Amino acid sequence: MRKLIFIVCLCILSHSSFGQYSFTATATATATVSSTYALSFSSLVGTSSLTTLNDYLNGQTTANYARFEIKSNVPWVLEFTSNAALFTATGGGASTNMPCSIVSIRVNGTSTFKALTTTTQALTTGNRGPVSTSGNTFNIDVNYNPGLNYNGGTYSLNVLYTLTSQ
Amino acid sequence: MKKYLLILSLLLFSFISSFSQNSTNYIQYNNNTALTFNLNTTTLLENTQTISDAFCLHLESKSNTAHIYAKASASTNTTTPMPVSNLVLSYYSTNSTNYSSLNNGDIPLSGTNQLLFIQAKVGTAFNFCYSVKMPAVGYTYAPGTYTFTITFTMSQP
Repeated sequence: MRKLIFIVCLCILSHSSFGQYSFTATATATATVSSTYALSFSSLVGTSSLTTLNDYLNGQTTANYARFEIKSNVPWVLEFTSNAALFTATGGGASTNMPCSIVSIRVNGTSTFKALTTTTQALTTGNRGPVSTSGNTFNIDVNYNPGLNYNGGTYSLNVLYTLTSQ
Repeated sequence: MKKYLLILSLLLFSFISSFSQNSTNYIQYNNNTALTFNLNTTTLLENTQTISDAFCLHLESKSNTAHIYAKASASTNTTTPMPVSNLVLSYYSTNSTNYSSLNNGDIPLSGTNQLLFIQAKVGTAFNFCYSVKMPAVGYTYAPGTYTFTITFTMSQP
């Protein structure tokens, strides 16, 4: 009997010895992040004009023709393609057979131009981040090299830029 | 043998009752809206998202003054872990009139307890409701689902 009383006392002491009581409740929160990227294009030059013989013989490069700003939460690749194999010619006498390949593009600061085709090509790649991330804001240079094979006139061509994840 | 069983039962009861909630001392989490943030556009990534009046803490503390704390842990294993401080509690409303030290600013959660408020001992249950915010996460985090566990603790000193 004494033992039992002792044990009960021990239990009471044990119960009260914790002193501080704490109770808890929990909740779960989730954030689902989807692949998200956006591309901003701004023309810095506008229409390019080839006016000298040298422009036709050696081509003309327009540096910083346009600016791209990319924000993405995935590593990305920027691709480009011509919407048509030939330029649209306007103006009397303009040639209708000038190919898109007389135009080449490169990222400003790099050395190699890539000629336009109707097949998609990678222009450059970059990393996850906002436009301030290194490589996510850049300018492009455009080179025109028609030679002397085409008549004078106004020529236009649509170039499609596509941003995708790597 | 019976004696040992009795001893064991008493000790077990003593231990369990020290930590269990009871009818007059408890805290419950009641959600009004699922704590789910779907970040699938640039606008959502670039702006703070708020689930207004997201949940209420339903509590009663008859035995003693209660201090209510919150902390969180992240359980997602990705290449770009999202810190729990991206979850922010913001006081919304209460029907209690016997509270003090209410933190009514934005409370970015952390892994350690932060005081939300102190409820005086009263034999009545009260609700303290909160909004949950997620500040602009930007483009830092890889696509995926990030899961957080928020733990609310009611402590009676």
